[in-house]
Amino acid sequence: MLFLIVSLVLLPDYSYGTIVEWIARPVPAVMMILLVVTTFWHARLGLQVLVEDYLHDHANKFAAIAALNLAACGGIAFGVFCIVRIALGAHA
Amino acid sequence: MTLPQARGFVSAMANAGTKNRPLSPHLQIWKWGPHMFVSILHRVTGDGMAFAGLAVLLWWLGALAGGPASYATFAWAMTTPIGYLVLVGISWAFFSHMASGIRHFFLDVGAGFELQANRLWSILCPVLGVVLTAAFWALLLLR
Repeated sequence: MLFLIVSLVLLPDYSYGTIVEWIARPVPAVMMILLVVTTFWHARLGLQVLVEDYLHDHANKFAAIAALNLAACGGIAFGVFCIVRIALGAHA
Repeated sequence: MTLPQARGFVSAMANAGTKNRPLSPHLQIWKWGPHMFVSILHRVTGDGMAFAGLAVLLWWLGALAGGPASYATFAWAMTTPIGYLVLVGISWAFFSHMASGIRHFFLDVGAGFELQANRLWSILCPVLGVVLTAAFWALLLLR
């Protein structure tokens, strides 16, 4: 995450070409993939605490945690796919 | 707990949820202090980022992977006044959450529970969050 923040500060502009070129390089791509995975995992853990604190009905709690897990996995899959797609060259 | 409730405990657990359980009042009783504020701020910023921040992150990555046209839509949306508001909000949420998160790390190893130290850091962390956000945006906008 700090890598992303520092990179954003150091990038010259935010046009499509600049960012795609930056993400396609190996180190930023891997860092971004790690960021997507760890961020979604951390968010899932945090939201699970929220669900456990505020939902006490067994059914609601189960549904919420199941939805959380699905959303987290889906988000990770989508994010990683996008980065890999950019890194392997599917851009203009 | 009276005896009938105790005997019916198992079935009450199975289907009552929170409906018959008394909750101890907290907001009406405890005087607000910086430690309470920083704690709920940590939760609010975390959950705010989990919804808005992750949505923007995925939109950004999807727009990039989708080609120049989809990225143009994203860039247009993020540079509107509301877009900037959202971005500043997400960055503030990040720095605040990180500051109070590091405070939690220190508390986890048992440091910082003394009254003065705890109060100091409870006040300092939200302030640090704002300062770091301002610094970040200053760097972004002024280079």
